[in-house]
Amino acid sequence: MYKSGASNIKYFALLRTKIGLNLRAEADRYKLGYLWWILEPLLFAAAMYVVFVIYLGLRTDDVVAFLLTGMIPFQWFAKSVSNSMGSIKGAKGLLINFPINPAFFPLVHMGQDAVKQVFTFGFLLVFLLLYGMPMTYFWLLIPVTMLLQLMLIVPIGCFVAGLIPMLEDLRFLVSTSITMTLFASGIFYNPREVIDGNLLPIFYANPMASLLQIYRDLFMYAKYPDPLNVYFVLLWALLFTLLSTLLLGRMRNQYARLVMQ
Amino acid sequence: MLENVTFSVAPGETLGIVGRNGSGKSTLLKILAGILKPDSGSVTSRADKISLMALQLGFDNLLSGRDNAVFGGMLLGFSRQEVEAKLDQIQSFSGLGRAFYAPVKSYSSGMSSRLKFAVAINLAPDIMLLDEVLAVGDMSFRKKAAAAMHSKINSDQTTILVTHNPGEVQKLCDRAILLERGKIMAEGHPDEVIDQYQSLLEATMN
Repeated sequence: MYKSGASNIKYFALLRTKIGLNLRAEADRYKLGYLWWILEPLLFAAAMYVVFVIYLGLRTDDVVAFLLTGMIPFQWFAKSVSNSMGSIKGAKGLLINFPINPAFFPLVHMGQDAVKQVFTFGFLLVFLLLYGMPMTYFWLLIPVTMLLQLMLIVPIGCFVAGLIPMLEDLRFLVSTSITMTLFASGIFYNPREVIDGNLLPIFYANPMASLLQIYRDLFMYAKYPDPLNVYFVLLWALLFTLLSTLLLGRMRNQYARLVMQ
Repeated sequence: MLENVTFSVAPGETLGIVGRNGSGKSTLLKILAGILKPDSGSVTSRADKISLMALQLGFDNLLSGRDNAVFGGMLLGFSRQEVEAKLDQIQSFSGLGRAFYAPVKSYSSGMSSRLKFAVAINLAPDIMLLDEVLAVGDMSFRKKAAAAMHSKINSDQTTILVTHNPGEVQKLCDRAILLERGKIMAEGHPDEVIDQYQSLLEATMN
């Protein structure tokens, strides 16, 4: 009976350790270290203000809050999926030397991004309070929404990570899809104001569009999210969970050979 | 490509595998380590922890030597606490000094090999698979590594050693296998297998 070495690895502890080691190594690389976890969204908020308020003169209420509550969750999605894309291929040195489950590698990247995102969302909350946004009980649902986003991001990240070693060209498709999602998710415009009501269900079939609407309903409009938005996110999360499980399950023993080619 | 490779290794035994480049030695070790799955056949092992040490060492270049030792040890199936308890020994054996805390991307190949050897030898997996790692490092480290290997061999460490160095096989191994084009050409006492290996090399040169 073949007994794979991978079964002896304590994956949860390993994941936690690797995420911590990577975050520390990343912070040690830069002079400002961990401060960048806060500085990066701060600079981003400043850029938003300059472009949309000063240059474009959009002085409608809450324009910066509107943009940030869309852009920050979207950036989390975009960064996590992009960082995961090359994670299995990039782990060649480990894959060919240790009997490790390939899913480990995108999970490490997404874990790192999730930890940093906690600080980014913390910054967002502080910014919104300073901006004058009233804190409501709906903000208590933000951590739940972040978990919902994680349920969507993780299987998508694992799926693209599993595909890339088989066909490198897919990188371009994934990057383009992320860019399309940027414009199709209602970050820069309020879909409820600009999109025909009959087309809104189609618009919200895009899980990121639904997710951003959930965030804005909680952060800005003090209302419970529309169940349709939640269902769309869960549906796509479930679909990608099935796809990534099938893909990584079937290809699990092939990646070491694939990355050696 | 390996074909009809069948052999066994007894607990505490040191098996040497020799062969020309491309004979399948490294592929065989990767199958034994569970990294590659054989297309047919099976690997049966009662070992809990198997360590493969190869020249392509599997370090994360952005992490320090210390952090790679922790991570590498956990990949072998040890807990973080078990690995951290041995870090001083690992650092001392590797001879890296303060470089132990520097990113591995700044290491030479010799330094990387010393670190990985230090991790494997101090964490004592049930089976050690060595892929031509005894030839790296400077003379003093090679002597230290050979001495450590002798000590392991005289204990109950099970080791499979891939090497181009016939002297290592004759000195360290209880038994040897000669691989050629993915098949076992000879198996038995190291002296006999090395004789056949050298005959094969001479025949190739002629």
